[in-house]
Amino acid sequence: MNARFIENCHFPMIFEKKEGTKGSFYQSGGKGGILPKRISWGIFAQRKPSSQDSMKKNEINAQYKRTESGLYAGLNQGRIHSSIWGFPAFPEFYGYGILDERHGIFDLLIIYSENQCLQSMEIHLFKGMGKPELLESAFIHLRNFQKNKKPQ
Amino acid sequence: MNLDYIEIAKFTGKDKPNFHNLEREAVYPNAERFSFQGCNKIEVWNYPEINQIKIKGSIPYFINGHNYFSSLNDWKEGLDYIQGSLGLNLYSGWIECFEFGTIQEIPFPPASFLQNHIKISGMEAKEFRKGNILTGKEFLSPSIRLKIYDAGRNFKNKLDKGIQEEISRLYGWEREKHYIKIESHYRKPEAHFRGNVYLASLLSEEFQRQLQINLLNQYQRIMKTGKAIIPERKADINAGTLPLIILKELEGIHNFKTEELLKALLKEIPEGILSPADKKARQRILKENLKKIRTSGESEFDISNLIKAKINEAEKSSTPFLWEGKGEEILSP
Repeated sequence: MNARFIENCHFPMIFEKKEGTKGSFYQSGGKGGILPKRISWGIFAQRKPSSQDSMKKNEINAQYKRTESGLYAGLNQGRIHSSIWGFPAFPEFYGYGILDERHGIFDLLIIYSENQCLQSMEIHLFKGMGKPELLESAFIHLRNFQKNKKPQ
Repeated sequence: MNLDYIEIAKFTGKDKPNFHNLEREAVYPNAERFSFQGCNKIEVWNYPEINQIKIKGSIPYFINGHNYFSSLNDWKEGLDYIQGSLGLNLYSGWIECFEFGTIQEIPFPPASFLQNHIKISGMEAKEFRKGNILTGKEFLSPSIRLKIYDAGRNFKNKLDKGIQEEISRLYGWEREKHYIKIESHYRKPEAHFRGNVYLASLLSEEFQRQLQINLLNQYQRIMKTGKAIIPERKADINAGTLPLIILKELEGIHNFKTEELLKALLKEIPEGILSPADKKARQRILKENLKKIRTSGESEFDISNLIKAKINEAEKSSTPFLWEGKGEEILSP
């Protein structure tokens, strides 16, 4: 897929952990008005002994506030959820999730963090690219994006 | 040679399209307009009362940011992205209008090229100018619009530098050279092809071949000037031969004979003004001047051979309508 096309589908966001909390991250930079300003990071639900669940690396849960607007505010009463899975071919990234297959939307979230998501993380949203055939293109684009970003 | 702008219509029936990935731009009494933001926008119109949606825009611009060249793979990627986001199978949608054309490098300035393409019999001709410069022409009929325009100018003015560099790297576009775009805009494909045209069949190899041949035929129908051979000797180009060269050029287009028109004009002049001897003398000079002008069968501005070469090249270069990786048809029903 054309790099320029992917660039137009790409929305980077930066989240930082609120001190004193277990997994509460607040948006501190990047494109606003997409995800809720606060997201919950961590698997708090009971895990099933299925092999699929054991491969899950993490979860994002969030809810838009009543006054907040965002890309997914109209879905599922403003509640969003995505499981985060690893992608071994691109080990520099923490993992990826898809928002939200249940509603027929396939927006890809790729998580990047230099501290294993303990203090901060970058969430890179790729609109409509959460399909198996497009995953690799998105990761390649993001790898180049990170390479070009570093010298600044 | 590739498809460009397209309008696809699709009955949604009981399916509910997913508009979540789209930006809602406007609401009308019986329609909503959304857009997909790729490299350039694609419009999606929803008509809920008649359960129909329409997709309007250029897939090459959407997926690549330019229309210099787009392969079927680009089309597949773009359409798959759109249909995946909408949750509909677009390949069974029918085509309301589309454009098929080619960009051709030419050895002469585009303005001279355009000036020498005059008309198509039975079609209305229109000119497009930017100031005094002729930038394009179109020939209109109820079902088709043939456009020829200065494509190099468009690339220089419309595309940003990054894309200009990309097309020169990938396809050898050079800023200094002259490029022309020849494009058939099928305004009513169902009338032209005698029946509805569906997206899957439009992208088939057979149909593309037909479009290539149609484009060549339509181009060849344009009446061209530039058949007169300019005399090589300076003495042969006097003030009298120049208007005769133009008249000779226009003979084929307007169906007249220069010699006969001049003879008739001389006959009409009363003898009180020009005596028979004067008329004979003038006729002799005109004959001498006409002898200096020769015409060739083909206009020097005719690029039919270049288009034919392009068609042959497209035919030879692999199987563009097969999914390369697997060698199977990409257009599943």
